[in-house]
Amino acid sequence: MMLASFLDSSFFGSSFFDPVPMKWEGQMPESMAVGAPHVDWVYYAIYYFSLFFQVVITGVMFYFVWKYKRKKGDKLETPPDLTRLEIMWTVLPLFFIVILFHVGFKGYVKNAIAGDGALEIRVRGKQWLWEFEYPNGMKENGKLVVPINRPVKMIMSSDDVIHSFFIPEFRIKKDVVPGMYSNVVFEANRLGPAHVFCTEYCGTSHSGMLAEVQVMTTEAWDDYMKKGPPPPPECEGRPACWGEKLFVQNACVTCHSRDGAKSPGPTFKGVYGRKEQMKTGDMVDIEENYIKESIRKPQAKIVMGYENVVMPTFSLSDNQVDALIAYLKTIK
Amino acid sequence: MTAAATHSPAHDDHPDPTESYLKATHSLIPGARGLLAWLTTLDHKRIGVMYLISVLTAFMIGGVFALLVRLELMSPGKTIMDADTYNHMFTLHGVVMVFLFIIPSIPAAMGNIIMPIQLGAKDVAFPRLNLMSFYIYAFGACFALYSMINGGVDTGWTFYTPYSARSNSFVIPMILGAFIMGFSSILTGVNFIATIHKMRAPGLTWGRLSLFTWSLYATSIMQVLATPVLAITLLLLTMERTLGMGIFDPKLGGDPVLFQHFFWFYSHPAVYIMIVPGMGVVSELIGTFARRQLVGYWFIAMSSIGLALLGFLVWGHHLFVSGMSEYAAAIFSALTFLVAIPSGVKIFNWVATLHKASISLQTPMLWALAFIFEFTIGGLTGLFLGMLATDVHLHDTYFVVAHFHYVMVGGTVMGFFGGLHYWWPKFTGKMYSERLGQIGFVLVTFGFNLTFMTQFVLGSRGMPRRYYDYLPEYHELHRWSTIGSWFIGAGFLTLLYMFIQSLRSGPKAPRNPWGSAALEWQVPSPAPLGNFLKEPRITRGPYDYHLAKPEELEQE
Repeated sequence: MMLASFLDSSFFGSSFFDPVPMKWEGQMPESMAVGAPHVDWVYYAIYYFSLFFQVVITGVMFYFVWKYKRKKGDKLETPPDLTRLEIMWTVLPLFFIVILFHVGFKGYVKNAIAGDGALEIRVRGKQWLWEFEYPNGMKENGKLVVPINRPVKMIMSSDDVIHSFFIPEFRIKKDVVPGMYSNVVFEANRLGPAHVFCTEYCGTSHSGMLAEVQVMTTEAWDDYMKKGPPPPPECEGRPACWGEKLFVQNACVTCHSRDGAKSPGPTFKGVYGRKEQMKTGDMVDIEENYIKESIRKPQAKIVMGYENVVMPTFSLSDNQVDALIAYLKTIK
Repeated sequence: MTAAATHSPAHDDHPDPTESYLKATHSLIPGARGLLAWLTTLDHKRIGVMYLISVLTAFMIGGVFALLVRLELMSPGKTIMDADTYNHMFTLHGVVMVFLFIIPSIPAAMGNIIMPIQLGAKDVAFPRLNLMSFYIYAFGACFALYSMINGGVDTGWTFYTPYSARSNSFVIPMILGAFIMGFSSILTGVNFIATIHKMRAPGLTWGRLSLFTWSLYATSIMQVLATPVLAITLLLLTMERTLGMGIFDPKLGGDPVLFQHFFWFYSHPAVYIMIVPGMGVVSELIGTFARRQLVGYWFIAMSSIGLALLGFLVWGHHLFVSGMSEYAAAIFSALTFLVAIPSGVKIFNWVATLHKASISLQTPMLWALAFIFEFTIGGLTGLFLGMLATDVHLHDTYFVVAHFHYVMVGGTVMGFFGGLHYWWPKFTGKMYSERLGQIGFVLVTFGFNLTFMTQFVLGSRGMPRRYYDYLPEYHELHRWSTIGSWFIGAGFLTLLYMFIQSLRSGPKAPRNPWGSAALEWQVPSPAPLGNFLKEPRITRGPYDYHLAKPEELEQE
């Protein structure tokens, strides 16, 4: 019984993230980009090629082992001259190799060449989050939205160590290296969610460095760019619920404790309605306007005692700021 | 000679060369006895045994790390340890298995014992250098152990910068350990090359060299040429950490990708340093247990040399997604495919040798056949990764993890255990329980395929490697993989028990328990101190069963 529940494994704590589900087609993830079918074709071609050779080699080997099992009175002879056979199985694989190389190279080049008029999105990898910046200056952490049927070029850089940007559904991957820009191009052709994984080991939370991808219709994408991200469906009509999600998604939680514990920035326990002394000596009411200003221009008014902490600027939409304020009001 | 007749050999400064090497030895300190005689021995067989004990210990430690890694991955989120501990575990598993176990496993341990006997020589060319190599290895291992005791490292065995330059774990002692062990590897290589060139018995032409010796020759060339590059790279990394030199740090004008080029310029040849000796062992096993001259002797021998040379030209295939130019990627991809040819040649020749042979399925042969099966999978899945289009998707996923475990475990480790079973009677003078050997073999191969076959599917479905946590959709396959690892553990424990039982109460081994025509089976078991009772003259190759005299193949 014990073993059964152990093997069943809800026995242990479960994962710390709450991701969108991953879908598969055969041995590969769901195919969602223009370049993917060719990669899949190559993958299956080589899969069946390998399977064939594996079966032939193993089959012949087992047949010989069975057929020539040692018996009393086996004659110990020397094998005949097989030079022609040797030359054949040295040269013949060369032909296979040339074909395989050609097929693989074609797919790679297809995926590597930038489409004309590609939409450019800036990606910044940092331990341990992905930040996306769109042409209109809107930034969002942990979520990438792209329009369908339009080439997209990701221009990527890292703030710290090497990361790698991998979207299994698009069959693309590229390292994100500090000190240089790298880029990767894709054209999504199926609506719905996909995943970003970091695939270059980057420390403690390497496996938590994920992002959600949403492929949208052009209209929905334009709308998203104008209004900023809409609230998730489960938070419809409940701004505080959305605010909490934004609080985690934007990693506010790593610097502002919610239980009064000491943290790099001021704690948010009971923050709304509090009076704080600024480094200039002024007393300021923590209300809507102050919070909004602190998100958009964090250096404008700094609470005394936190002069040495540099908070990054967050470009959130008005709706998102409202949701965050609503959430902050609930932290008592 | 007269002295040996009047004194007990153990008390003598000139020990009796016909006495078993386990009883008498040449020592750095004349007249040393007991443990001291072992620790100061100049006899290649005793040095080999010391290596063997060391690498088996390392294998057990690395194995425990592997089982812990698999147990943690049994379920998503936290199973038994936190993320930082997990990151240390997989790093230590890699470092211990690569630097402490697999690189010295076949060449330094088994090669040391068997290769000079196969050459008809009394010892290696430089016995003192051989002992020094062992102590350098042990000294390096102490640094690695020091790092582990203090909390270990969390950089992955590849030590990629800039992470390794910033990680606050014990990186410097660990890379110094790898740096020092590198010198052991270089010196062993030099020693073996000199031995093979200069110490062959009269009549032992290059065409009569055993294929195991050929494989060690190829390996030694790689060790001598590639290891210095690792040493330089690790030294630069140490200077980056301690002196803030900006070779790899972009903030100081360095290039982190340069580290990867340096690292893989060594570590790709190192992959062949690991696998080529395993192939050599398999050639010996096929020859002996099929009682047949190997088909394509020169093709097998030259394919080892071919792998050694090609190994230096393909490091770039580890960097296909690192931002290398498309032209460079294309050239490295093409060169990588060439590796398939010498590997294929070996497989085809081994299988062809079985045709019309006289095949015995004793335990060592089981490992050899498993090697052919698993290594073929390892080799063929390499095609997916050498191909640019598919590598982009599979790079740094579990597909890669499964691929190199099929090569390193399915290949080298199976070759190592095949060789250990095969030469055990010559090492120890004892036989082992065939039945326990079969049970251990079945457990290991079954568990191995369960553990790693599932990982191919995980990888092609997008599961990245070195992940502490994963999406719930990957859970089912991870769980099977973990269950497989328990079979592997149980299998190796069975073998450990079997070998200990053999040492304690195994039946005495005859001179030639397998009826082999190879030279090392023509000397008593365990081998005498001087290897040969009288100076050997070689008149045929090690696989010439049609030329062997009946008394040479006598199994009693």
